[in-house]
Amino acid sequence: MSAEYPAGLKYTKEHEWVFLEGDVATVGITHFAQSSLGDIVFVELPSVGDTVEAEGVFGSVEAVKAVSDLYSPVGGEVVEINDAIDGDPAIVNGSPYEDGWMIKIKVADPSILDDLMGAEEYQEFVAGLEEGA
Amino acid sequence: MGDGQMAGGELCKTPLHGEHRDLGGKLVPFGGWEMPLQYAPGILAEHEAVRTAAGLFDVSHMGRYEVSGPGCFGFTNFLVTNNVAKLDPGRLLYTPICNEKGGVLDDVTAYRFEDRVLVVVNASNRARIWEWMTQQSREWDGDAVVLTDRSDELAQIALQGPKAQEVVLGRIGADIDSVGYYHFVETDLFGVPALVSRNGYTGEDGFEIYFPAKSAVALWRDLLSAGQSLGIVPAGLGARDTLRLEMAYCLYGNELSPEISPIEAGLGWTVKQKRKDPFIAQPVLTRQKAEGTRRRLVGFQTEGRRLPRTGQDVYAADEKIGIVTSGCFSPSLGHGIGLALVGADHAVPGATFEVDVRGTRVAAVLVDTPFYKDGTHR
Repeated sequence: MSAEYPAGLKYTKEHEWVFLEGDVATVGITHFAQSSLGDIVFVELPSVGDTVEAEGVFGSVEAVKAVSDLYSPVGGEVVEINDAIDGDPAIVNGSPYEDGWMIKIKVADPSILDDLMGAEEYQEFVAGLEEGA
Repeated sequence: MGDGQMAGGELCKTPLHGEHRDLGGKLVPFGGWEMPLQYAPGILAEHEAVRTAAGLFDVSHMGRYEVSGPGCFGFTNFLVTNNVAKLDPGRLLYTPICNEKGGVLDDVTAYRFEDRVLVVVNASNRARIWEWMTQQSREWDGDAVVLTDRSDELAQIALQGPKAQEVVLGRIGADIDSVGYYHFVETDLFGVPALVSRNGYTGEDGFEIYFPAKSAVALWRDLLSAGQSLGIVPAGLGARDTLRLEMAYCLYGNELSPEISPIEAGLGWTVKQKRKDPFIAQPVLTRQKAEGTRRRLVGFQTEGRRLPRTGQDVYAADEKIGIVTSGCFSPSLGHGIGLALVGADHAVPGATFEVDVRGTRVAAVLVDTPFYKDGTHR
């Protein structure tokens, strides 16, 4: 599997990734998303304690020339946010799967992850988009 | 003929298309052309390079139309609101071309030669302006004019940044330091015959360079290589847009359109309504200058994480007063900036209003333009 789309993560059609550990899901945006947006200058995230809904908007990413809403792959309570992004949003461009993670959610219903794409499927999905572009 | 769109809806490519691809450019459609939005380092790095060193832009997608014949100055002047006829040879100016109602068909630069004028038009308006000029020339009852489309035979590169002159020094056949702002010289650059003018779209010192299309790749590479130690980078449409917006320069399709007059867009200085030789839209623009317009273009800035974008509504309390024509993050200033077309009553210094940024009201304050005041253009 390509380093651009690590195995072990689940992916959405809106280009978020999610990694489940116990009942806590870490969520960020994919390589494709950060690359399409270009230089990210602000990320708006919810606060710890907020509730997010599966497929609901939980924030937004502002790049120099583009903006995109963030959709949560899972529903639940926000238990942690990545404060480092606030001071240095470029880490989302540089490290979308590690340093640039966005929020951690205590997942209400983990089975929802079964409906998401695996790395291989997502890579094919992205390849289709790039061909169409 | 200069239509900027090939048969079957395929995008046009400039002679430098292969270079952009090889340099890792992210290619996007723009006005019927496939052009680099940015290269690998990204918009912020390209923007910074142009503000502090130099950037190289391929602007070959623009249209280059020559007007010659004994009537060339009179005819060109009839089409534009500024005054080309009074220019000395070797000078150029920026001017709108308007329809009879005073709406802007394009904003162009016009180069005054001894015996002809070169009109440089936006890529997205190539077909429209060629048609307009052809149509007007048929109805023109002054001395004869000849229109020639030089777009395909010439390539065009913009070299912009405080170190632009250093990049070409020693490689150019002219005393470039003596070529002033909005002046041009016909010379050679790296052995290639070239027209070089000192102007641009970034607020920095720099040049627009016109030369035979067959030399495009060679000259592009020579310039990048000559500027390497000075920090030159290839720069795309993304940086071009943030650089021009920091200077509050209008972009056709955003601040300018057939529904917007140059007076509304703050380009009153390009409208010489007292000219003795009549020009298209002179009556309506003269009236607008005297009486004012209902709408005016203003510059504003925002704080916070939500950035203003083209097309968003502008409010004063609950009243919708206008629309954002351009907005972005200002890389040089570190906050949101934008231009908005608002009701003239609201166009007063220090006015505050709100922009509807995707459902959230963001406070904006009207500020003087240019937003960026440290540009090196001269």
